[in-house]
Amino acid sequence: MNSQFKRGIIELCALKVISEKDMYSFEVIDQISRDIEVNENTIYPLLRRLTKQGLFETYTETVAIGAPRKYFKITDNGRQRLESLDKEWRSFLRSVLNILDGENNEK
Amino acid sequence: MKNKYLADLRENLDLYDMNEAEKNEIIDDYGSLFDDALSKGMTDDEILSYLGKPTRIIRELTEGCRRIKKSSKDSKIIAISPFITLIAYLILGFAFNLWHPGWVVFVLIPITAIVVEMGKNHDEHLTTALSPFVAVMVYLYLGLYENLWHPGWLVLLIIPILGIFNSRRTMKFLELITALSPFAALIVYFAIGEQGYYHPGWLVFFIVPIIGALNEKNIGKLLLTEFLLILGVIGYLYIYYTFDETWIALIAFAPSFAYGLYSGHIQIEFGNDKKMNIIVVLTIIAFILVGVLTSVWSLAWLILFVIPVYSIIRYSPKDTHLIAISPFVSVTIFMILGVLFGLWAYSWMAFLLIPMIAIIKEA
Repeated sequence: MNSQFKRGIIELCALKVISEKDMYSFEVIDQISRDIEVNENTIYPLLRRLTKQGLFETYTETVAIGAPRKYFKITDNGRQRLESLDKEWRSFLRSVLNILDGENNEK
Repeated sequence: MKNKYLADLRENLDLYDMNEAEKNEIIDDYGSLFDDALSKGMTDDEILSYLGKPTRIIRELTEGCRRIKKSSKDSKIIAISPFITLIAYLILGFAFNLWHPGWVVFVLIPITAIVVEMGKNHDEHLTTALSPFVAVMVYLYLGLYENLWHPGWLVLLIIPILGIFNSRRTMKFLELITALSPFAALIVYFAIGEQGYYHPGWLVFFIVPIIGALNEKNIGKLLLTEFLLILGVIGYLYIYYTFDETWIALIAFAPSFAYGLYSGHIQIEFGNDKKMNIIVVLTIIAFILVGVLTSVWSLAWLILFVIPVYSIIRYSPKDTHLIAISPFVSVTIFMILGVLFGLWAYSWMAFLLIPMIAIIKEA
């Protein structure tokens, strides 16, 4: 799969999983890599980029053992972006499926 | 391991125009990621693969940042190596009249660059990158001083063997053994052959399909394949030693060959790229013909360069052809001048073609 294309999908997935629950980096990587083969960590740099763009904000929380953990939380801008990417992706998928199922050809 | 990983990451980040706070934040985050991975019971290798090597992830992490410097210590070492080498060569030549094989010191230039560049990242392919230099030097020593061109060329096998062995992290154990088996068979074949048993010593190559067949998932197919292969070898030996008939003895392999065709383990096909396949077949035939007819195997193998050169011309962008082909041209000139004319003291200069072409191309 084209890496640029995959990057876009992973961005959408990261927005989605963090919109459901605040997460720390490892949790996000763990969650996404269960369903999508992610090459050598593209997720952490992506989380940083999206945070810089104001789609996530971060806060730290102390844990029983070890250093405090940094959590990612989706912002309002992040939710808007998620909504728009979600729409784009579903419409794109529908178009691809139309072509694959030959619906356009039958018309 | 964690400290080394973070130190490598810091070293890579320092090559970019990024503020300290941001760098510290990234280091802290990767420290946490590492701890999380450890607490999940992941091994060091798994963590490295999970997080990515610093050299691989640095581009993503520093997106939008300008690269500001190369490690100055490393640059100095690389830059100074040609001068030190030249001085060493002149001392060896003038003081000890060792122009030949004193030229060997020039190999230190690319070796220095490789060790400095790959060593600092603890790249597991460092030995792969160094192997051609070491192997060719050992090969030339065995050939020139011990007149052991054959079987000295076997030392060149260390190049693909190391290449495969250093990729072991990405391979399953059985895949690794399968990939290494042809080389092991070749070495054993010549070891047996030199004792006067080239025939039936070639049967040792059956270790390749015997190990390869272990990759078969279906236990029934696996057992049948192994049985027929071993039966073939035993049958061949029996017929050969009983009736002294080599060609008839080959019949013993008919069942395993037929089953191989039936099961799909043996496939005779020409692929999509017929031209490429024809080139491969013709090149191998030419290599064997020239080798057998002239017995100059030390040069005949150069014919095999036709395959990578053809694939470069056919598949790589046109503007990179010259640079990509230059190592093959250099080695060919180097070997022809050395083997045919004994000009080893000068033939190394053929390698200067590589940087020269690169400079002209970039100018």
